[in-house]
Amino acid sequence: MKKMMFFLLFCLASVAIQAQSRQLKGSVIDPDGMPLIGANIAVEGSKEGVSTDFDGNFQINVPAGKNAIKVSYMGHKDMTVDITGKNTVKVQMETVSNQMQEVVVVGYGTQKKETVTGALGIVKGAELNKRAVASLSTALQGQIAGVTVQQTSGEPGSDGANIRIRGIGSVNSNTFPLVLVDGIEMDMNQVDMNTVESVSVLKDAASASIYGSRASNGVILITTKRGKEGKMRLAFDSYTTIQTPVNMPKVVKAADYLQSELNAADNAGLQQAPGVREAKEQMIADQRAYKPDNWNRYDTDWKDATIKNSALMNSNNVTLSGGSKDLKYFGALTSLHQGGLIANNNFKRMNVRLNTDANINSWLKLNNEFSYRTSTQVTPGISSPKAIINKALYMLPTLSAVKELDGNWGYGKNGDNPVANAEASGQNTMIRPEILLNATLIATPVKDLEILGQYSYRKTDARATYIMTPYATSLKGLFQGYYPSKDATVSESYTENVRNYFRAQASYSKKFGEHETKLMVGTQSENNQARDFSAARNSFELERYYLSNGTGTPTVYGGATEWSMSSFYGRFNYNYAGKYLFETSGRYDGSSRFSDGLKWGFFPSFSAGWVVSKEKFMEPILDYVSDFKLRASVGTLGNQDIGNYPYASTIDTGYSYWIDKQLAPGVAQTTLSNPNITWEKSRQTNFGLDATFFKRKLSATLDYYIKDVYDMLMVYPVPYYVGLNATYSNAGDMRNKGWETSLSYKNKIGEFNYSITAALSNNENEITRLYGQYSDRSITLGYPRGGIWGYKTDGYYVDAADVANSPKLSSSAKPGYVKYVKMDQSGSNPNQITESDKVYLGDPFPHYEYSLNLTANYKNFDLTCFFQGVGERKVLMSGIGVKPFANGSNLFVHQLDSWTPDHQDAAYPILVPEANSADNFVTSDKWVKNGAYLRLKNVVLGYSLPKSFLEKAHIDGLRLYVSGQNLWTLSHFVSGYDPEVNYGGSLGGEFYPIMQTITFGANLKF
Amino acid sequence: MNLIRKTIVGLALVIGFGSCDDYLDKEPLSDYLSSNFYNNEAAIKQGANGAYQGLYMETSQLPFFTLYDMYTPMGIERADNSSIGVNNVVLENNFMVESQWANFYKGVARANTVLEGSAPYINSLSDKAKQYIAEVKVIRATHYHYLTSLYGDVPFFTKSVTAEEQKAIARTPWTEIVDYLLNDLEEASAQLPWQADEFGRIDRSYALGLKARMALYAGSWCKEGFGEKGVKDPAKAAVYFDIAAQTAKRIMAESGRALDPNFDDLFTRAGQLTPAAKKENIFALAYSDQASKKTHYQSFGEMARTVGGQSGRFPTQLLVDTYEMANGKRIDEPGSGYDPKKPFANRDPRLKLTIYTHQDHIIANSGGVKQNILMELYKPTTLSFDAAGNSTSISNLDYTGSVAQYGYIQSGVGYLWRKYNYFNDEIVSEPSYNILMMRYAEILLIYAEAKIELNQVDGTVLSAINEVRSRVNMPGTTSSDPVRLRQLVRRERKVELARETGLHFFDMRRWRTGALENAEKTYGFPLATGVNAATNTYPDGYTQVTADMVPTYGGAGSDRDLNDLALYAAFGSKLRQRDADRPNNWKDRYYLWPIPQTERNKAPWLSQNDGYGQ
Repeated sequence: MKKMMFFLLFCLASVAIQAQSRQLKGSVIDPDGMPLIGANIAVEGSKEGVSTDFDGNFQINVPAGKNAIKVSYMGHKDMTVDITGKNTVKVQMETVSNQMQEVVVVGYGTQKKETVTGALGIVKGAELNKRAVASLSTALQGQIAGVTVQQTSGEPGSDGANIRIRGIGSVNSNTFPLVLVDGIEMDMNQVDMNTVESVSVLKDAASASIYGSRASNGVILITTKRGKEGKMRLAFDSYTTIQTPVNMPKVVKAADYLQSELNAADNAGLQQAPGVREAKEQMIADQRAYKPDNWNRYDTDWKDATIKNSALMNSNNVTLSGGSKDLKYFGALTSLHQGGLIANNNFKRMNVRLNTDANINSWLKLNNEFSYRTSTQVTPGISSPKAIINKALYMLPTLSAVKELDGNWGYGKNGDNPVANAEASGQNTMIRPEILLNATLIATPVKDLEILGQYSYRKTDARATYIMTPYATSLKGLFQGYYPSKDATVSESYTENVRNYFRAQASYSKKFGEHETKLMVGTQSENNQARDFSAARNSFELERYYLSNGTGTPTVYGGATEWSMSSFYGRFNYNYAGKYLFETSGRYDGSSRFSDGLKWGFFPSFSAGWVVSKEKFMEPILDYVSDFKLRASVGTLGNQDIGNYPYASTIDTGYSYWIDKQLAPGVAQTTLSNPNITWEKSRQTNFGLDATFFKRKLSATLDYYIKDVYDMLMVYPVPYYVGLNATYSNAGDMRNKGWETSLSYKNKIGEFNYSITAALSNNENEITRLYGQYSDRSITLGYPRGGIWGYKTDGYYVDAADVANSPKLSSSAKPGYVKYVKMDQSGSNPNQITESDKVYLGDPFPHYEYSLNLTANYKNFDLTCFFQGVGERKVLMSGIGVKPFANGSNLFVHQLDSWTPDHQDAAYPILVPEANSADNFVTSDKWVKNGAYLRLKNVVLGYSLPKSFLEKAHIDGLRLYVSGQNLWTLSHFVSGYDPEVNYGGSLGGEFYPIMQTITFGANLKF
Repeated sequence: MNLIRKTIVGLALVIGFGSCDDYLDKEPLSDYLSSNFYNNEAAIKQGANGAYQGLYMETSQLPFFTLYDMYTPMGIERADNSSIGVNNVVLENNFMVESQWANFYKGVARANTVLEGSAPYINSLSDKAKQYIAEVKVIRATHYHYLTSLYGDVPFFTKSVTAEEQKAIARTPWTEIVDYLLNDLEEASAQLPWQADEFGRIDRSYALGLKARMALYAGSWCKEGFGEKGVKDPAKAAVYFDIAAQTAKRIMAESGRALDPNFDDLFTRAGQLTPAAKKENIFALAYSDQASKKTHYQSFGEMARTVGGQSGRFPTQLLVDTYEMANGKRIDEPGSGYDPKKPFANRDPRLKLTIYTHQDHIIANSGGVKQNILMELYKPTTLSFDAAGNSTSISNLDYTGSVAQYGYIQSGVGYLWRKYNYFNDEIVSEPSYNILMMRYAEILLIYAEAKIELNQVDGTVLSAINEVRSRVNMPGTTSSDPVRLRQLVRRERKVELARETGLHFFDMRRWRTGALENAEKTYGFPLATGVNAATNTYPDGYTQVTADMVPTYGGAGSDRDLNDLALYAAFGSKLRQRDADRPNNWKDRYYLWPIPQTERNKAPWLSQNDGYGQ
């Protein structure tokens, strides 16, 4: 009901018409003499105000007795122009070269950058949009020091990056920042980049504590574009991208595989049954001599048959904006289509946004945001694209043909055929619509007092349809049955998440002489309901895949959860002459996720700044040091994102048994409960410095912080004999400590403008307290969370004597096996490597992250080159990437470099069958690879057609550009693998490659 | 005044968004809170079903129970060196040792939450609810039965584990646990019908059958000694054997159970549904082809690669040669009629019902295709038969090709399990036959063994043994020599119950025959000589067998003889061997598994079993 009310109010908003006494005409131009569209003109001392039109002209009523107008335009200095006796006026604006004057978005408001005392990072939407990537998170990579962005997959629709601000903020709770779009929590990867005005990242406690319990991992505030007064403006943006995998390992051919298999058996000293060996040697000879005939000999290139060389991505956007003084609008419609590397794998998204700002009357404003998004992600029926891509990489070439001579799919590995997986196993479709209504009513009953009420409704659905169809397989002309050996299965699921959000806020600002104060208080509450159901059925004899057409017994599931939060927040700012800055803010948060008495938490912060450059004694050097500000802050944040009822002891459904073939529903308690758990907290201290030099051509920012996370919700393993899973307790502390710096230089030589921005940051994580509890090595006191622990190695055992006289993991050690170093001498047997010889081998987090952004424009050309890199990172590789024959897999070319008595400095140990090689592939520094890299992340070259040329067609602007992403990489990582990607999966080493892209695009403006 | 009006509107906005007091009270919606949950029959029934579900004990969709015999010389797993308990793996860190410990306790906790949760309401509950509670008690006893049999003394809980017990607890001596459970099973059995109304639920036959089995095991542990040190207590042994005999006798007399005349029916989906099979089948883990299916990987993990299986567990020559000739003589006995060139002819019919051998027809269903394939150990091709009996030559995937190294020839020793795997009405990777936990034949043999150990040999003992043998037309015994009868009852347990619930693993421990059984390598089919791939010459190894290739069984009256453990060393070089399996370094500590190291990391207060260090 409330939302309806807001819409009625919105409809009633009308344009006020005022009386007039004289007319003033004029135009507003920028420093280069180009007209400024949408500049605001107000008659001083009156309520009169207009904006410039498309040609930069305006006409305004000047009440009698008024003699000055104020002209303002974003990014330019406000101008006051005397109009005494004038009927026309031409105003040339000056640009604000000082970024300190910028207004930046902070929690629940905006603030001049000049007076900000917390640690903030800001990016303009235009910067992000330049990158031509599908996900906003990916576009943020390298943009802000201290914000770690790691793109771990190139899968369409799932290629968003992991974002961490100043290290991980928790062991078990959420570690990703809170992302708010116009104040409402949303998935940043589903945001249309064409609508983003700016992104603010709140890094320290002082800037984030106004978000209290949600802000422990930092906050990302995304502001969308809004309409400006003036003529209607229409813009089209369109680009097409060719995506190719950045990296792919090379697989060996059948003959090499067979030879390696034979060598491996020989190396391991395995006996071969009589005749078997001869048959194998004959096979190898045949493979080398003849082409595969897909009858006697297979040499199938699964990789080539499954994985395409490239995929297309395409984005089209239209935006419309404009408005009158009292009603402004901004609308955008964008569609994105992203192709995948295998069949039946793509992603589509459509975003619609309409933002309107209406003045209901002189003291009441209504801002509305409406956004609708729907995305469709398609994947093959049988398994994830990632799994299929990896099967295509490791499937043995000798198993079968892609398609057998009888036309059926090749039998592959027991029926598993990656090409058929992708092309013929059905299709999974995930549709995710999201609708958002957000209305804010702002009242200014008296000057300097602002009261606002906000309501937002967000509904996110997920509708999945899984259709899995078995395919027929053959081997050497013999039908082998269907794979998988089940009936076709259809399952559909529907999940609905509804979030209601209410906010009321009042703020009051007052200036007394040089004392400037602002007080803001507010309350906010939100509730969330999630509801889901799914149904599945099999046996679709007539091949029409809807639930009703199946003949198998249907299954249904359904359930619901809810949670809610209620909060009070406030902030007080004070500054004296813009020189001495002070701010305190805090939030009192209640969460339904904890028991009575433990629901509420208070999260305060304090910060102060000193603008040294405004002091008298700095005046002599202002030409060199233009701005100089010192900042310090301390504050507390919380975290609570840990399941919906973590305090409750529940009996769960789904533990069914079958009594005489019939399903007998069963329940079970599976987890211990701890009703005494409460908020995770973190205390953050930040010291910062902002400065500009040489008339603001060079600017620098430096931050140092310590973030202590405490009362972390930990799950310490309980003995197995307890029989129930362990539960949470507030018993762990962790520290993130780090620094961030960025330097930026801008200059102009004639018509050549250029800028260089460099950033460097580092964060170190350490577990600082475990309350004496036992945990596994991934959580070790004094070491980073997730640290890698394993053995030290010393090459390979050189010969039998070396094996006999050196420490070993087990009796299977042989010459050419990885040689381990005995680190713990206290044990009884100096030649036995044991668990206690494991040492710390590094942590998986990126360190010394850096970026370098070069921009230049000359006349109608613009160029951006963006480098990004990581100075230090350890990646533990396991499974198919490094282990030959892992789970019966093929070899990669890089694995052929294996130890032999004559080739002792090989990259890989002696080749033996998988069953014999376990000792070589335990966690050791041998497999901890250097994940450092430098990457030319993005290059954009644009050309704007000359205005004179376009004017005839009434076109305001046309820019053509070509850009590339991930164009060049320098790294010493495993051949064929990418240092940025995450490798996992049941066999280890699974991945979906990230993409190198080339984009052609155009921006057209009317 | 205007200002007042504006302020009121503003304040109204603020208040309008104010929240209610109970805004933050959110209880689970579709989950149930545990407090007061088990106060009615419906909840207890579902809780009991949840406890049954805890019995599946699955690893890779396969119940643990079917694996135990692969840890004895009667069976092997695909990979050399993986056999538990022969010094090839460090048991303290072994996945199965850890996983079973964890899962049996999970089952205990699940049962305890139901028993404890329903206890306050016991007087007001319906009879049906009490029956469900009794079933849960039997399930709990099942878990502890395995825990004590595998680990000896273990922490013992009949209620939820308290916060204090999570920080320190001693291991309860196994005798105390067994005594408690024998009593608990007796009490629970009173609440249960002899044969469950709903087939598949636990009934009195199983409750008492478990009691008899536990007592038999306990009797042997007292007689032969348990664990590394093997301390004996003959007096106590007699008490336990007596309980075993008496309890088994009650089942034989009162339960109405009987053997199914058709042995094969016990192990197929369709056969298990026949009334006769249901009568013999006392308790089984239930699987289903109905509704939302519940299937397992047992056959997938045992069947030939040629028919779409992923053979990973195999029988051994030692088990094959435990089967008598059809005339009741052991193969080495004079007059047995054993022909080593045709070793599978004229044997105890259970050999062919339990094990697939060379030149057998393997049937299976691989994804909608019914297969009938000739088992062929020696050639790269074999024959596939269609429904009409016409054959085509096909590639013998277990002999050659990319997966052959994991097949029954190159990885196993030439045999496949036929028991449970002789069907083609279901797909090999998703069968729904039940996995037996106890059947009536075992009760008969428990009775016989307990009476023999009590030295109370009488006609009932002979008729119990002969009942089992006569079902498959094996001649009965008339001997009254307890030594000979002990040999026979042990042989019957091996050949009748082979690989089912892994009974031999526990028998080997309680008979204390570990050292003897594991002294030899694992042997298999006779190797062929003269193979020549280039000329396509693939002789059949069995045709090259010589008359001297008959195993011996140690000296007459030796332990080896009395336990029917064949010796092959004399002609072992002519046989397929798996060298690494059992390199004769059995240690008596293997009579018990160690407390897993990961458990002792978390609970250092738990002592370790003898021989495993401290």
